[in-house]
Formats: sequence, C-alpha cells, structure tokens
Amino acid sequence: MKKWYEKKTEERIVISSRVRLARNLAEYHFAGRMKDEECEALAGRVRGMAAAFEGKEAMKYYSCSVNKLSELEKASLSEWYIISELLAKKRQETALVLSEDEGISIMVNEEDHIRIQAVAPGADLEGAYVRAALIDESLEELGYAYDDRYGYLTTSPLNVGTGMRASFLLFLPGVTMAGKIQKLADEVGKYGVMVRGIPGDGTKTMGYLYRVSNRKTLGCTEGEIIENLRQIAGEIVQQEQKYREYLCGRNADEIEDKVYRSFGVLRYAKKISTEDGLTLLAQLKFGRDLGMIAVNPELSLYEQMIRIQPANLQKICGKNLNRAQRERYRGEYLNRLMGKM
Amino acid sequence: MLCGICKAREATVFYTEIVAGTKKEQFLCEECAAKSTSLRLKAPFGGEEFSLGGLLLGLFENGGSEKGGKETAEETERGLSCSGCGMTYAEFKEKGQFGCASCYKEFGRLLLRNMRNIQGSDAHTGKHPKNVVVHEVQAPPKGAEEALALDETQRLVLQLEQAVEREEYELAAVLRDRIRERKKQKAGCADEKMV
Repeated sequence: MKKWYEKKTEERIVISSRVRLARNLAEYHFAGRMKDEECEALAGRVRGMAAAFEGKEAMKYYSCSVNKLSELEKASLSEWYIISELLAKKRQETALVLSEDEGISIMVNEEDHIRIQAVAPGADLEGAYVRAALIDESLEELGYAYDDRYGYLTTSPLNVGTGMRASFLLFLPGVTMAGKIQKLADEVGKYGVMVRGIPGDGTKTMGYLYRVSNRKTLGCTEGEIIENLRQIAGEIVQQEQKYREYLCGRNADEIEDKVYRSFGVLRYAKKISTEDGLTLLAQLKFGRDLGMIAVNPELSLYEQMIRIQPANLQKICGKNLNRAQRERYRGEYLNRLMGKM
Repeated sequence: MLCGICKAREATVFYTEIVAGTKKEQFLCEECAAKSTSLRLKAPFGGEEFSLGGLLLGLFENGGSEKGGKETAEETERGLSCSGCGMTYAEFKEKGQFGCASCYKEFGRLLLRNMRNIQGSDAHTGKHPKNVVVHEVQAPPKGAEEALALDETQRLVLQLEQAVEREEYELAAVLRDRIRERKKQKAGCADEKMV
C-alpha cells in the first residue's frame, strides 16, 4: 500500500492537512502523574484495539512500544512527524499504533493519554478529520474524561474542549523571500491562527515549510475550527501566489539563477549538511512550481526533505554515521537523486 | 540595538514595567529578559509549548513586588489542592498542566477568567462521546455569581487573587487574614477529630 505522501502529485503550496485529537481516560491520572504499571496497562489496551481500527478502515495497522525502540528508530519516526519529540523522549511505557498508509498514528502516553493524528495530502482537512473521528469513535469505548462545560479534558488547558489541533503544512517561499512571514503570522494571529516554521524555531525555517494551526480549542465546534482555518489558509495561499507572481515579474533572473545553482550543488557537491539540503531542495521545488526547471513530477521533493534528515539518512544507509560521514553520504544520495531527474 | 543589560546580544524584547506608578522601559535580549524580569519567554512565538503556568506566575510575581503582595500570593498558592491527585494550585501554575480530570473541577472555577483569556471562551460546544448524556451548560456566570458555586475558602482565594491583580493590597491583606483564620479553624476541627 502506498503511503499518504505517495498518493498524488505533490501540491505546490498546501503540502498536507493534519488533525490531532487529544484524549484522556477518566480512570487514570493524567500523563505526568501516572504510575509505570498504569502506563503499561493503557498502552496495552490501546494497542489491543488495532484490530477494531483495521475493521473500520480496511487497512492494516501496526503497533509498537516506542520506548523500546532504538534512538535511531525513534528519531526517524519523529522526522516523519509520525510521533512527537516528546513521545520519543519519554522513559515510561509509550506506544504507537500506525496505519499502513501512515495517515493515522495514535500516540499513547504522550502529554495526554491518547493523541490521534490523521494526515491527508494536499488541502483536505475534512478528510483528515473524518479519519481521526472514526478512530476516536472506537477509542471512546475506553471511557474518556469528559466534562459538560469543558468538553474533552486534557492535561494542558490549552487543548481542552475539542482537544483538536488542526493544521496545514504550507510551502511558502514567496512570502518568505519577500520577508513578510512575521507580518503574516501577526495578521493571522488576530484570527486565532498560529504559524510556525517546520522544522525550525518560531517563524524561522530551513525549507520554507510552515505549519499553520488553530490556537483555540474551546468554545467552537470541530467544524468551525476547520472552516476558520480553511479560510485563513486560503488567504495565505492567495498571498503566496501574489508574492510568487511579484517575484517572478521583478526578479525572475535572480530566482532562476538561484534554482539552477541549487540544482548544481545538489547534483555535484560532495558534502551537504541537513540545513543546506533542506534549503536547496526547497529552492528546487520552488523552481519546479514556477515552471523554471523540469523535475520529474512524480518525485516528491517534500518527501526527500524528510528523507535527508539525520536519522532517516542513516536508515537509508543502513548504519550509524557521524556528522561528517552523514554530510558525505547526503551528498552522494542527493547527487544520485538529481542524476535521475 | 544591543541589550540594555548584557550589552552583547541583540535586543529583541521591549519591556515596560510599571511599579507603583513609575514607568520603566528597557530594550533586552531574550536571555536577560527571562533572567531579570517576570516575563516568561519559553516559546516566544506562541508555540504549542506556551505555558499557562508562566503566564500566571508572571502575574503573581508582579503582584509580589509590592510589600505584602508576595505573602498574599503564596497564601493563594497554598490554599488549594486537588482531592483527586493531590496536585496543588501552585504546582499547576508552575507546570501549566493538570494532574487529573478532577483538577478541572477543583481549580477550574478559580481559572474561569484565565480560561476565557486563553481560549476566548469557557464552554465546550463541539462533539461529545456517544455514551455521554450532555446536560445543558448554563451560560457562565460572572463575578460574584461565579463565586457562588465555590465554597467559602475558594471564594476568598478567588477574591484575593482579583485583589492582588488590581493591586489593592489592603483588601488583599484582609482577605489573606480571613483565609488564614478559616484554615486555622479547619485545622482545629481536624485536630479535635484526631483526639
């Protein structure tokens, strides 16, 4: 079965849509106050429901104890955004239940007892939500902590209510190059929408990728959250298109030069750092989106941006590599990939 | 512009502090701002890691800069703990995380205002588990009515919090003494029971 990110031609701006639901069971204390044996019991119970998910979704589900995985495996799952960094770091029993297409991942014993995550390619928050809600329906048999006033109770008051964090992963080179990301973030912030660089810190990013998500989880329905975010993301996409046109009109030569330089480095450089790799692939994607460079349309450059990260690269290579060895191997890997274009 | 304290790093925070009517303005870097002010900048860009704890703590530390304020704030923190998991209100404020579902009942009302500030609302309108029978939630009462649902000590703690926030320290001191008195009475009752 194909993974969700292999399903269709890569989108130009909206890479993917994601819905996360935070859920807790009434019978246990929240994650920070759980005993080891309670963590184990909960992980076992959720893993035991994989068959029920398979029945609902007509696809295979896999599960594992995340805390028993090697550091490399955990880092790799985290680079694919299948698990969070927090889950990867936890010492107590943690579990992951993952659908075959990797579109659904259920984290157990993260900040909340259960975090259901559904990802869909392109702009399809509804699709992601429908899948997440289906899994949610099965899991609610376990007895959720729910309150008439506050809704689904979560460890942090920032997630209470719907417990839902919906987001789009957007590729915004136009807005970034125009230096308008912070301004955009401030603007959409007024409408309860957050913008964060991925992977990165604050609005900084290495590959022009940003996660745009709802801030508030209480006092609005799941449908309202999705609708609001869809509208705001629509505005952002329009702005991105506007800046792309503007940049192409004014600086087409410079951008074309940048795109081909990126291609040249990716094709021939012998050592490439993660940061450089991400930026170069992002510039190549920008060039492809603008029709400046012919890149095999079936090649997902977003997927490659994940594959060249440290843990995934070591998995491709099949052995542990130190930083210098990684840079060398990343160079070889990207040279080969560009050769196939 | 360089930070006004370390004079080495770039200033990214414009910090205005008003203490007893005197306004003080500083340009600081994030590190110095975190060290020398009550500002918490765990996730400067409003990330998911944003800590409510830090926010509340900041509020109380500002209150504590005045004489008597600190004492009242400490008193507030000691005032409450969750009967479900034993988490104290102070602990909750520090971590910004609840210990169990009961914490919402025990601290939730005390936090109504904060909940409105953070979430812009204090009542869930979304979906619910199928097996849950949903009761109509009354429109959240404000001010005094809000306090009706609390017991006497909780009500006093809430009033004390509001007084500290408004910087009405004389009122805060009176409330603090009343909370102390109630606690002494409670402790007295418990002692008698033990005998």
